[in-house]
Amino acid sequence: MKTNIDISILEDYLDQKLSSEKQKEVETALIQDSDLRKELEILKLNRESIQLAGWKKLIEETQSNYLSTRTTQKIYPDKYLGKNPWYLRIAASISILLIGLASFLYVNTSPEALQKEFISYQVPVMRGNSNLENKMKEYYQNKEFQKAIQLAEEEAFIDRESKFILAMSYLELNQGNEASPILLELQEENIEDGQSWFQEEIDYYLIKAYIVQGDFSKAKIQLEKIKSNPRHKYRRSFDRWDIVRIQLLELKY
Amino acid sequence: MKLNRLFSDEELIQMIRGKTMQSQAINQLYEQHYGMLEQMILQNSGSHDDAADMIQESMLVLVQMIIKDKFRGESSIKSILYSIAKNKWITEIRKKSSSQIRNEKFHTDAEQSTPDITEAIAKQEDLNYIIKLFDQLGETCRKILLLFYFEDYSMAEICKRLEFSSEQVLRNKKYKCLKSLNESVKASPTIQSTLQKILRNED
Repeated sequence: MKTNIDISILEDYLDQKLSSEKQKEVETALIQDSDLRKELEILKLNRESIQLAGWKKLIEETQSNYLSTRTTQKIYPDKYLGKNPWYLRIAASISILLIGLASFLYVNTSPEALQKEFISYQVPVMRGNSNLENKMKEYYQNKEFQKAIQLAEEEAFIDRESKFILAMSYLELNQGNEASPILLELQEENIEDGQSWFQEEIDYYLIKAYIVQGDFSKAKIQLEKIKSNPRHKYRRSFDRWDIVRIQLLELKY
Repeated sequence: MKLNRLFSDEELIQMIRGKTMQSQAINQLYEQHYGMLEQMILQNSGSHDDAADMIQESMLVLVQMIIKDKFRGESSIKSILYSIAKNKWITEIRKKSSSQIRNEKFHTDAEQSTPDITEAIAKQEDLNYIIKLFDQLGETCRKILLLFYFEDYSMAEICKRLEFSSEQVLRNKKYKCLKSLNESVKASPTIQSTLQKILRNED
């Protein structure tokens, strides 16, 4: 490079952070100096590659999680269904439906089974608005839920993002009785502020919180609330059997 | 009970482009499309491991296309992912160059990829090379650069998070890290040809 324009200046040039005078100076230098043009292109490629490196890491982690979960799920269908002819599978399904559906559902429906079907909240990789939130996110991501809870308890005031992570941490520890008041508080704040911040997630996780604490009638009401809203993003997460299963839980416990 | 609701293609594109809930977005892409892509590779002489490698790289190409506005949802994510994976897999089996595993129809179909996909795959190969050079930087350098460029942290936040004594010290370190990466890239013959192409197009 023949000029005194270094990477920092080129970065500011790309981000349009330079004064108009300096911006023009860089433009002129770029026209005259092929080495500088090359330097700029390398910088652009590098910035793009670093971003992509972040995505690559995220994709690798997701793939690894996906494959480990999928391996466990595949055992059942491969072993019992995959090798049988289709008509046997249908016959077996009909038999099960006719003979044992009700008892099967009754025996197999448990709060624990339902809880497992909820997906755990995944914190966004993006940074949060406060240090507390970032730290809590870090603990949550590392599955150090108790630490996230302790951190929140030490604070006199916690913002709503942190409150949400706190509720999710309690849920991960199966403490629905702690999670539900926080989610309800966030719901109240939404109503007061006329906002719908994370409201759909609040609705969804309240069902889990109620199931964990054994309050199935509230879980059913909450589920019906979601099902009755055609635009609710979690509406399709539940079907009519889920309502039946929650009703069964009401009968059983 | 289904685990979570499915986002539409348009929402997924927005989530990736805007870097909001990107984990959920990538997760859904895997849940929805991994099986289909894996099947395509298994049916065309690939193994499960080949499929895993190809799908991971294809996801990265898709993300890159979305970020660079090369894919705005003109076709479905499913079809674009399929085309990317197919194109990449054909290139891979050509590299292996075993005529006995060639499937002519499969090859012919691949030629029909859109220029955008071919270009994105070629671009990704260059960027992958730079990512390898990036991976060779020290841990602190990688952390600083990822936090700044991928996670969009401010210098003040990185300073606190990585416990630097001052922002100026951090700035100097970031400058050195970037410069070091620039030097490695400059010294790489592989990237030189790409650079020449870019510079020629600008002239």
